[in-house]
Amino acid sequence: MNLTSNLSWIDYLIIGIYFVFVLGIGIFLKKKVKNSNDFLMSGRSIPLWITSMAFISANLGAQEVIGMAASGAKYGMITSHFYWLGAIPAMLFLGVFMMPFYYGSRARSVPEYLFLRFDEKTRGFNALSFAAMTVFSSGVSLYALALLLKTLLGWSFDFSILLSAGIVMIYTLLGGLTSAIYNEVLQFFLIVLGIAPLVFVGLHSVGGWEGLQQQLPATMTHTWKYMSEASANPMNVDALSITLGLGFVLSFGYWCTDFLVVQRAMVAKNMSDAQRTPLIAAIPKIFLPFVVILPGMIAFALAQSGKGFHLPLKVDGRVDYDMTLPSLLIRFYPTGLLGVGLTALMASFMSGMAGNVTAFNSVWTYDLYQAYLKPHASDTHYLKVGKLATITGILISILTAYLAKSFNNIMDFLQLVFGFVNAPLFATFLLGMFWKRTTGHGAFWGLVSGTLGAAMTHGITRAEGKGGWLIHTPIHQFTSAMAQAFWIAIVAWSVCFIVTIMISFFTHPKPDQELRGLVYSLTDQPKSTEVAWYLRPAPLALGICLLVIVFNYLFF
Amino acid sequence: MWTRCIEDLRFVIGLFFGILACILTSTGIFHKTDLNLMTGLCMGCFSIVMLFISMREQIKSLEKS
Repeated sequence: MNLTSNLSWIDYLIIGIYFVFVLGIGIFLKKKVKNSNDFLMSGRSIPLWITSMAFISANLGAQEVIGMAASGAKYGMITSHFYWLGAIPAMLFLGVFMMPFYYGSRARSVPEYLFLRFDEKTRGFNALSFAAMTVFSSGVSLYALALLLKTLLGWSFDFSILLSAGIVMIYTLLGGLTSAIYNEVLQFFLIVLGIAPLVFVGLHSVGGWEGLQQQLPATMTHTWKYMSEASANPMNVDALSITLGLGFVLSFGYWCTDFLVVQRAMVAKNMSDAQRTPLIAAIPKIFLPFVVILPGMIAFALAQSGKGFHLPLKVDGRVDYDMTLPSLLIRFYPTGLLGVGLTALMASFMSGMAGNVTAFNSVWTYDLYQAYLKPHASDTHYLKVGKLATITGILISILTAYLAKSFNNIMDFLQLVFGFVNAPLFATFLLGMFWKRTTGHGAFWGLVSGTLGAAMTHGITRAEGKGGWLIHTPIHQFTSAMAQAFWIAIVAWSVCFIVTIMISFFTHPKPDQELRGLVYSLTDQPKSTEVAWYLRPAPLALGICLLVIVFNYLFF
Repeated sequence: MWTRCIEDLRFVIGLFFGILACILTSTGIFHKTDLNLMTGLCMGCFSIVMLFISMREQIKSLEKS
């Protein structure tokens, strides 16, 4: 598929204008960066509406926009579980219960909270694994963007990588985290406004929602109806594994402990805004399936209807679901809007990459460099280190992008590692925040055991040819790789939870006075009296919870 | 006033989508593409709302100071 000839100068003009604005934001924010706190923490002065949009946009990267459209074409409406079950409840929990500890403790990062609550080794373990994950993830995002630009615009792989990485580096280096956050907000609106017309015109072409339902198998238009057995739905996952694995362990593990997203709430002006950041972000998140999943379903229906649209194919003849969204853009968008659509795709990749890089430079500077290498240096020194970490992070990302080009399975491998690391971490936080008896030794060994438990489960089970590397005959064959991932997460969380409790009983906890502001039972709950009652965290979360239940019911 | 406006993200977003709206609306009119025209008009409305909110905030803060 080569689009070069279909793009006119108007489309290139739109792409160019976007680049000018993105860089302009960085240039204008440069003068606001005076110290390391401004560069790495935005001086904790960002307004609520910006932190909320950035919170959702930091996650609106390549996997979300391209991947969810691909899943929509492959699995249908069941993919919305990644939002209504696998994101919203965790975002509400983060806002209502966890933000008071993250923000109230004045920790500058998630690993630093672990240091304050537990000890140095627990912080070190989390900081190292998180730093490695973020730069690799950023590299994979870069690789996917370069591949997309090469396929759609005919740009060379090297040029695409250098251009995208260069732009992200310039605006992040100039304005620090504020620049990344401001750009994420711009990117959020661009993604929504750039892709929403596709849903409108696509739905119109298949005869609206009723027409879509008629052309798709029933299993693709419901969320829960066919979940009683794994074999009854296209995702091959049953209700129990999706509820426990995705709805509890993986989603809470990601949304409540991943510094990439939590950082956006931690830079809010005050506690009330910090708590409401994930809650406000949850509102557009509820509606995102209609922007990112529905196009995939429309593509599948169009391919079924024989209206001359075919799902894109890979070289080996299999369906290339990842190209579903770009192929729909080509099909429906005229000159001008095509430029907007392609710019929206670029924005999604760049926002994902910038999010990873800014999280990496904070964790590197505060939790690794300041903690282990040079603890008592001047603030100017840490500002320099933060900027160097930004450059280094982007250089490693470029390296990872080339690695991803050479090894086809590096993306699967990274996805697997995320599951190994994030799933047990939620058990550590849950115990650390809500059980004051939890000790540093318990947390550390719980994390290590959980990660090992995840690796072992992957090694002794198999699904779609993946796993089973530890023994010759796997002890269990999963119906799908997704079901396997969910159960690996459940095992990792359970092992971490049990081991942490057991070791905590045999080791000495910190005294109560050291845990104030860090543990639920020893911390006064913040009261948001300055805002109307319906805008306070608990009523807001309840309202959103009801809304998400309504959506689950409507698409049951 | 302009420096303050440019530093306000709502103004920047409004300006960006205003430019996109102009391009899309013009291509919609001259190339007779309804989708460009409709999207351009929607983006234009969004842009006006963002610019209006931004200007209102700037005027408020100027009055305060």
